Amino acid sequence: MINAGLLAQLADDVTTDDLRTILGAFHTDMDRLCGQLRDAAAAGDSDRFRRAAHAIAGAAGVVAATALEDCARVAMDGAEPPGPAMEASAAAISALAVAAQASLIQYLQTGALPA
Amino acid sequence: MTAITETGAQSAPKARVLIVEDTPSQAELLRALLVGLGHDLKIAATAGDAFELAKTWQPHAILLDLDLPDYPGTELMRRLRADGTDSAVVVITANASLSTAVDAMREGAVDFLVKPFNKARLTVTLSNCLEKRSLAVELREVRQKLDRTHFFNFIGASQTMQAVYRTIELVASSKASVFVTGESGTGKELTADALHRASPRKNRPFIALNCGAIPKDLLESEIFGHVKGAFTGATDTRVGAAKAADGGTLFLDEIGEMPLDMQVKLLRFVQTGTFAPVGSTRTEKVDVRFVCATNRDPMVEVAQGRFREDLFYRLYVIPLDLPPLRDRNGDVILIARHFLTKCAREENRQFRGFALEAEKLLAGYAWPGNVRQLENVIRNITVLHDGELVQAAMLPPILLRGMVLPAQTGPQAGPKAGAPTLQEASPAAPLPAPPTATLQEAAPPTRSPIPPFLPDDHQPAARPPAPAEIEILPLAEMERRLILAALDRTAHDVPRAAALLQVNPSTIYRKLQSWRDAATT
Repeated sequence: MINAGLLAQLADDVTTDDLRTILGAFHTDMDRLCGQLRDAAAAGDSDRFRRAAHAIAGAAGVVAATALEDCARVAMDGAEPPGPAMEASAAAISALAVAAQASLIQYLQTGALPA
Repeated sequence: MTAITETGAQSAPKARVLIVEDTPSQAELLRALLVGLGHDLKIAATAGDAFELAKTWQPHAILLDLDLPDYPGTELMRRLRADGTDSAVVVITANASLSTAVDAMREGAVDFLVKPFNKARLTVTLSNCLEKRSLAVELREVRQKLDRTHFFNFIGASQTMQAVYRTIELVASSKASVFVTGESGTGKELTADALHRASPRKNRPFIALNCGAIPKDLLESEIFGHVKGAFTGATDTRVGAAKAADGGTLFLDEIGEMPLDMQVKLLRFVQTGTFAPVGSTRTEKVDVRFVCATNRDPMVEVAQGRFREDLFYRLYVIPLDLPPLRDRNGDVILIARHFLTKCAREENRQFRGFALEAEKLLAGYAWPGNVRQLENVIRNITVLHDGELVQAAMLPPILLRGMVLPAQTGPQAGPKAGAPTLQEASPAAPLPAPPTATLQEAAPPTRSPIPPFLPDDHQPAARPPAPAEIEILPLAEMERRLILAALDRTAHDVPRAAALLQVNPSTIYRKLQSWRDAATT
């Protein structure tokens, strides 16, 4: 879910306060962007879908959420046609985002990622 | 509209860095990675905000995400370039493909950064791009200084003028007196003006006084002012140029014309910064930077006792000799084009440039009257002709004949050795023979120089009598004599002659042309 090595690198590069700020911003970004992604999928709007997926991939890369980033990159490349497949893709990305959020909250609270 | 966030730097800002990123977590990452470097940071979340911020804040570097909500980062780069923004752009992309890099570079990016990146990579990339920008700016400034075509109100790209510009820049910030020499029409007052405007005194007064144009009796009052009742006609207290220039620059033009008794008073003022207005015993102290000018050779004036040596050495701290137009390679056409645009607009003409043959003639002439003469010639052409291009046939006869008029009098005046034809004529020599015998016969043995736009039949034989001897003549003849007298009085400077007669210069040009036409029919 989260690449521990990359996350440790981030933690080394920034202050603890900044790390909290970044992870907090990621949490908010995911809530907003996953909502936009699902809306775009429901509307069959490929362009909005691609943009939301692009933003999710970028934000996921910041916090080393590699599984989420990879999935979002596949979606933003336009592999899924509008319709059920796009909606399924949005649901899968949203699920990964929720999991990433949970892992990062645990990291902030305990200093360790889930096993 | 997306909000723009400003963040403070921890130490003195090293550079202004604009982060253009619409996803807050990514923007926060960049801010957090850079904040410790001491840069001044701002974040824009849309391309539109970034464009506005780049114009007003002028960042040294822009970290740019290509995928933005309003329009793409590549379009932003195009707009910034078109707007003349010189920020160094680093594109941040998740796509590490060669085409992305090539596209980014093509649009003006200095570098690109592939996600994910760590602090070290970001720091090195930003540092490199700031250094590249700094070098580019430095190079551009050096080039601008070496290749300037304009400098304050000067026009000229020649190497001789580049040296003048550099000297002005070097000495402008000093309070040291500057002594400007050069032939008439070379830009002595422009030099004084540029020295003032490039100096820390630029927001204080610049007062110019032509010592040669002020009657001797009034010169002291003009410079130092007077109190009420100081002399007959002094009905009120009047501030002089010295007081008016306090904190600024006092430009004394034609200082070689200043009477010796006045030079003594000026010397005291230059030495102490104090003076007493005429009729007053109270001295006043001012802070003035002196710029003086003369078209005479100041050394000769001192040697011949016409200029006080002590005053000369007080004022001759930084000498600045202006080159005559004939020594300013290529500037004639540059200046001629400028005057053509200006005169064509003022005279409502269509002229857009010069025909090749006309340019050759302009460039080949020695211009003893320098820029002022060139301006007069262009004014003459625009008053008398119209068309898209100035043709060779429209030029005054003296240029068509390839002749040069005798240079002005004075040790510095006149073309230097090596310039064509005219150099061989002594300053007081008569004009080369005009094309018609009749006209030549009318010429007296010596005469003052006649500019190229004067009618060929104007000879000093037609000089007006002194006012006391005025004879009644037909009005047209009186008008002609008066105009020619005004031209003689002003060394054939048409605008100044027009000012004396309180008419438009165009009127004089038209009269001259009509007399020329009449002489040839």
